[in-house]
Amino acid sequence: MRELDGGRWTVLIVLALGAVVAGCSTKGPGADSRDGHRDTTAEARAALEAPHADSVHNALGRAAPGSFPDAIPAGADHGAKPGEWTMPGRDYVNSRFSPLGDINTANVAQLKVATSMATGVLNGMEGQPLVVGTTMYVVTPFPNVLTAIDLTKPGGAAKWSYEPNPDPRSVGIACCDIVNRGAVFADGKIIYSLLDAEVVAVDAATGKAAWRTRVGDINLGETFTAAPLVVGNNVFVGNSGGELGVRGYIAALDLKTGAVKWKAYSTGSDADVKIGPDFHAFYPKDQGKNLGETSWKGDQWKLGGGTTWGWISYDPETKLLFYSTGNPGVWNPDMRPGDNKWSITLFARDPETGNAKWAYQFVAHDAWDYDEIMENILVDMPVNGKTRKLLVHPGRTGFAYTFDRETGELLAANTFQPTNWATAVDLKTGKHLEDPTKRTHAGVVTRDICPSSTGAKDEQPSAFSPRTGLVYIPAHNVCMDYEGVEANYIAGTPYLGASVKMYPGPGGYRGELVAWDPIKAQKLCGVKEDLPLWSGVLATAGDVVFYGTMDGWFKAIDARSCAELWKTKVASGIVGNPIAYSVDGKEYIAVYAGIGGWMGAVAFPDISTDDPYTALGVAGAVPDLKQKTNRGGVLYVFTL
Amino acid sequence: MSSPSDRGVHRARIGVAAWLTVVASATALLVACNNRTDVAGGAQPASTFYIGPQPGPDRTLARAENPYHDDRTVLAEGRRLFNWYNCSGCHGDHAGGGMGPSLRDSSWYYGGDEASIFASITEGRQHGMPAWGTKLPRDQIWKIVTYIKSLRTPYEPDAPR
Amino acid sequence: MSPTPRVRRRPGSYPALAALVVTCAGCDAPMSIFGAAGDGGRRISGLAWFMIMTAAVVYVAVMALFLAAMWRNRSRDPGAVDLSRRGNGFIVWGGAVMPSLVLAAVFVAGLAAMGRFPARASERAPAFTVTGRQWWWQVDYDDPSLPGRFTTANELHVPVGETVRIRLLSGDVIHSFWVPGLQGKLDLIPGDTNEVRIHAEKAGTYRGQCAEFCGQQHANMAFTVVAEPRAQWAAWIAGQQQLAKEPADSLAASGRELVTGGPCAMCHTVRGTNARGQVGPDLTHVGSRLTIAAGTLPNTLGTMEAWIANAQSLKPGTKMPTLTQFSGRELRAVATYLETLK
Repeated sequence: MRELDGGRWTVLIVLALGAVVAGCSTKGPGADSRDGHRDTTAEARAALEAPHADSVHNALGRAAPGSFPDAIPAGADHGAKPGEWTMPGRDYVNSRFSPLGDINTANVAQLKVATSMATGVLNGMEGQPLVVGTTMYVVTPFPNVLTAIDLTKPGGAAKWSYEPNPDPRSVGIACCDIVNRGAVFADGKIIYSLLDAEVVAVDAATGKAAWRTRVGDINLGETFTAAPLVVGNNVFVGNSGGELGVRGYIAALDLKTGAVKWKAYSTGSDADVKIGPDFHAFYPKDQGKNLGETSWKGDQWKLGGGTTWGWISYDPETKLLFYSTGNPGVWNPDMRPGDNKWSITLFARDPETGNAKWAYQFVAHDAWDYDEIMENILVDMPVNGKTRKLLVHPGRTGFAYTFDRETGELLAANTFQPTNWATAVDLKTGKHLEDPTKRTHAGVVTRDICPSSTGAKDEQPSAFSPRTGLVYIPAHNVCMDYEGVEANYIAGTPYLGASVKMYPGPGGYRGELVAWDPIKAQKLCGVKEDLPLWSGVLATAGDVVFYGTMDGWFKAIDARSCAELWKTKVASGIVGNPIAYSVDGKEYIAVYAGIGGWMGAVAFPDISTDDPYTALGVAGAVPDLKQKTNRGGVLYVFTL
Repeated sequence: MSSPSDRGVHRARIGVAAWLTVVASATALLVACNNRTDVAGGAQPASTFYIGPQPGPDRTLARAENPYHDDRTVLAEGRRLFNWYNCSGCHGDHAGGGMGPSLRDSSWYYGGDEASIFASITEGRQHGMPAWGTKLPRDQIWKIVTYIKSLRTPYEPDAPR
Repeated sequence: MSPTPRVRRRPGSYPALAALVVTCAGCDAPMSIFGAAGDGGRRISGLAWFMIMTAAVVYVAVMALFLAAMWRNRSRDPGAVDLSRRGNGFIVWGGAVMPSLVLAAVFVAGLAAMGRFPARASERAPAFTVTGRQWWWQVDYDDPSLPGRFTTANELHVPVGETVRIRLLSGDVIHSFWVPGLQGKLDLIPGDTNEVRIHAEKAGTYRGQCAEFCGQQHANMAFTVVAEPRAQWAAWIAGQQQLAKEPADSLAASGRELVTGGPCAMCHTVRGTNARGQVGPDLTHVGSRLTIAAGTLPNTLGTMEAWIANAQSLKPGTKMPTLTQFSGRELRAVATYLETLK
């Protein structure tokens, strides 16, 4: 009897211990069923940041390519005076280079505030002001008020305001803050888009609307945030809403009347995409009939994204319009098998007819939301001794691309930030050499993907200096975990299908101003920043490069060495693009302060950071943003 | 020296004591777990007689009652519906905000009590909140309301990590 | 010492015979594995018969030996068994070796049946995707050989005499795809893709069932496989690829308004209209299906109305909500419109 008793107690104790151990080792809820194979130990991270030929950190002393006075094509500024800024990127080629040189490396340290003006809006001040003659034009985020400021008056005085009163329902369908990326001046009018998918042209002298056209439909989730571009008699504008299953297009409006002349879609039949007999894609992967339909399952192309909310360029030499498209709609890649053309595609089009001349799809069957709506900077520079017409595209994918803009041939591509979803681009086929373990899928969490969905850079535009031959890129270093989940389509609501959590990338910094040599496709020098850089960049003839940080530092660096020359703290984080202009022969630098935008919205009070998946995952990348800055739209002007 | 039968009785008594302890603790635990804590939470304002209209929504009119007010069994379904109807697309994966404001925090534009949240979902709101009243059965809207009220409580299903 | 009681037993074969009779009575039932009309199903039922016959033979033999032993030793004293004598070799051969051989044979027969399920199909056989969800089946006709691709629910059409590959995915938990008349079971496992091959030899309608417990309504997660001649099958495919039919009368037209503008569009797709919800079954051709609610109800106007108005009482726990917002006339209009979507 005694033996049995002892045995019974032993069994009970062992069972109890076993239950405790089993309970402790049970996976918690929501554990992923299959981890990515890539090891995430410190070793692997160190490998990502180890110097290799195409990304040497802070290599001071390496010679810049040199001076290329003819790099910017003639006629790019469409006759604007050096002291004016009449287009979003200053000129057709989006160089964001100002020929003004009074503020230079010797005296920029003396820059001080000349004036500042509250815009009255608390959301993200993306975009840039325009200066035509002696008047500055400022467009605010929703409600998209246009204000004309007389720069000859002390401190600048508002002349008039145009209040368009766009539909407030559009506030709830703009994915990434209710921003506006600026206006364009043409034909005596200031033309810009309204959040509720309208485009308006306002007389630059009187402030009265000349025309106002509804182009898109907010009930389908469409909004307009991009800056238009005017070429000849056409106003070009792109739409937003790739997160709501909106079908992307670029529209051409008549400059005089505002009537919609044509829309070139990003998905659908060749007729819809305006691919005709004179279309020739350089690479076989982009050749075929009706790829905008056949590279999708069923009719997913109707919800296929490819929105065009970024920057449009025009080449006065080849007379081609360049822009690129966004993500293919739903973020869950398993819901849209196929190459998903023509999302994430660079298009060259005839501006009159809209017919596509060539196209290059950066990422086929996107699994990471790598919208490639970035600026396409058109420069003429020598490659192997021969001057070629180039197109430089610093990409969301982590690669900066240099194309021949006449044919679409990719001449060089290299990474400018830690990137692991692909290791290189095969220049012969135009395809990225992907790491299959970094492809995301439904029902699986794929971890440690670099760059994150916000990319190695987002919409914030780079600048080019013909005096150095360098492109100055405002970059991010953020990585992510990404899980595809089931998505439901309800018109006018998000069609997302992914759970994304972002966090800082390797190396201890989250942003970097990269000085990039587009010919050799390598970094010359850089300035690392704590926060991702979400402002645009300005390059001037004084060899100074200006940019701003998300916590409100407006900085000037030397264009050749990246040495910091000057900085000042402004009222709010900077997500806008600095410009240079002159009035009465005196040079000024203007920039918006006003945190916001996709990542900047984490600073807003109605965003909670205890959930790192908030705001499509950015809350995990900058959880400290609320402590570092606050909202408040202010226009700053600096001078010596 | 105790006899085998004495030892047997002694062991039996220990066994009974042990079982009684187990049963007592289990009962205590069950009682504690079933303690119907108010999922919604929140204190009731003290009643005061005011002359004249008061700012904010009317608190004297009969307001809709949440049939799932105390019911934690609907939280998982509320979470599922929150994702199905794309609430998570605008308000964030775990309602932390994004295109729309955070529903996890304590600041509410239109009222944070259950009836106000129900009204906001059903009627829609200026600045882009769609009106779901004709699109979803009330039953499902109440389940979503119950889920929203469970955020940042220990009962939140699928809490963010 | 008390005498050993004489034990009398009934012949054990009566229950076995009764079982056989009962089984055969179910041969024509929809879920019977014995009425197999598909290549895989035939192998399973063949294997089943082989095992039943083998077992019956073994059973009869063992019972006979048992009776014989009892009869031979009916007057022997159990206490008088001589334990010093060597054991009977017959016991070793008949009790250990024979059963091992029999079991081995059955095992091999089973492996053989499982291994050739059905004859090797060419990789060009059309492939469809079935995704199991609680508690219905999403069927995607997404084979590249089809001119268009479409999605339907709970009903699979296959050409007779040809092999069809079916990819099995799960949207949530483990389900199991089982059409007893045609094929064995294969699980649908979340995160994995399984592939089952169906080769129907006789035209007809076969009922399938989820065979892995998957939640509250696992029992009501059935589906239909319709095997038809190729010409008819191609015609059905062509019909399903069409967009939803236009409503023929005003009642159906008002039904369409209610479907696209009301709660139905939140979850369901009707291709050709604005209803594009993707979490519920595709309704573009719901009127042509044989059943609704995954085999729970026959597809008629009345059952459709009942399903819309009170799904929770017909299939408690289903993801389809109870929609009380429709008036009687509205309900009739919605159901009429859906029934016209053939």
